[in-house]
Amino acid sequence: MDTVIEPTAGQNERRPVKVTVTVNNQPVILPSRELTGLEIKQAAIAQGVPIDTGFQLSVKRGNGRYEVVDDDEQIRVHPNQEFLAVPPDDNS
Amino acid sequence: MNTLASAITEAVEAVRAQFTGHPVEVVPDGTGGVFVTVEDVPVGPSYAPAVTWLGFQISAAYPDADVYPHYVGPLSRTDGQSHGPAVQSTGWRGQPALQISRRSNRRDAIVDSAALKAERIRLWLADQ
Repeated sequence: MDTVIEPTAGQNERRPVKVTVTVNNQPVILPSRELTGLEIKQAAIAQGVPIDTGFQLSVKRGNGRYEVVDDDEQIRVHPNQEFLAVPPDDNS
Repeated sequence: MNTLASAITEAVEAVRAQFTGHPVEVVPDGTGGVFVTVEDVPVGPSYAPAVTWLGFQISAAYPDADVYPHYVGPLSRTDGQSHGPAVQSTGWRGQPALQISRRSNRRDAIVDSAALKAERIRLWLADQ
């Protein structure tokens, strides 16, 4: 006999979630609410956004201000959040 | 010419949003673009002073043209070292300045903006 076990509140909080954001105006589904800058770029690349992991990632905050997200920096994402990834600049 | 292209007007508004709380001076360059100077920009503890102005021109060709170069007020390194590559002493609109020469050679005009570039320049300088 199968037994249905109702998840506790704590288990619900740990359940994997998917969050859809945009990276360079293209939708990207992220596998978690907490990711590093590198993980966000890797997810975008896997879903066809034409960037590479060497690009510089920025997140758009509510006031319209962009903040750079370093590769090893972990941030909390929310649905429809906007990211931009641009090639690094060169000394000239 | 009194009317700025909408792309430049939008770029200026984005710069104001990027640097909310900072005075932003915008002066027409006479050819359809603008000179922008953002005041009180933090450049980090590697420099004295640690806060200065950031200037750049958004040309009439924007958004197809890169925003390059950028300028900041005269800065000294707090470690006593000289400035490294891409930084040289010059002038900006009649005042002493450091020129920050960082080109966006693979720039995507749809994604990149004057505001984002200004923030990248600020961060790059602070990390030197």
